[in-house]
Amino acid sequence: MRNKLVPLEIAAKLVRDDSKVIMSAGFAFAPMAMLREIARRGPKNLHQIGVVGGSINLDFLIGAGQVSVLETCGFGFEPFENEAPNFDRFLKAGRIYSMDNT
Amino acid sequence: MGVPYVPVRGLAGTDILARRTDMLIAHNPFNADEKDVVARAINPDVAICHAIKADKSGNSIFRRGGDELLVSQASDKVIVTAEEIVGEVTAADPDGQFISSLNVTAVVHAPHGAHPAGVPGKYEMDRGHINEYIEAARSAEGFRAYLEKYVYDKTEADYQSLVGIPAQEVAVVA
Repeated sequence: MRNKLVPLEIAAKLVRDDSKVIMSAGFAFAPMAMLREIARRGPKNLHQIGVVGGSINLDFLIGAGQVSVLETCGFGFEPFENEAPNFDRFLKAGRIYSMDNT
Repeated sequence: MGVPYVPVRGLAGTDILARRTDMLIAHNPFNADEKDVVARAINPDVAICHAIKADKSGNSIFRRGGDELLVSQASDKVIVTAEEIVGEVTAADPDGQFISSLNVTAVVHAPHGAHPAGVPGKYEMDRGHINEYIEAARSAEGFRAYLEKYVYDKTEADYQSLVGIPAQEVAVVA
């Protein structure tokens, strides 16, 4: 079997400028360590997709200014808040394009 | 699924179609009298999924009830981060949803890698940290300061130390 075990820093290189990135997570199983590494590397203009929905996993790279399109449904911060805070701020400022797949 | 589009019931009559280039109304090829909304398939470049465990070749076990299998099969490349790297993971594993190494591009050992979110059965979400995140994210300056404090110019080990997770061994990359 091929060994595909790599450090965070290597795997994060798979995400480039303009990548369409998909996740299935929320306040459980959010891949935050990888998202932090992507924030450190800084690819821009990401199209982020949440299946189904999401919370901090989708909100984080928006706050880092790396997401231009968000496509999901049922996105929020329950049980803390209704709105995902970075997304809410970016959407109201017209800094992100949102596609609602509800 | 490998299909170019799927019919979707329920969106006809809404104004969503006027604003989307990836959905339109098409005739049912089997019944010329019927029309349905069809949605173009989403073909992501990269899926990022956090697993309960994985082996070095990428065979992985995910929570039951999630969409990780669908997401990984739809994507060109798949990054799996895993709480634990074990000797061998097979489809017979009783702990959750199996995803084959055939669908996985890279596997990363990331214990506590969901923090401040949680991994049910291993650790709870960190409510204190999430509240700090929410407060920070209310302004551009606040979230910039959050990223400076926890993320930029830090390693994941630095992050875990800053949020009070005890230092842990990460599987050696052979």
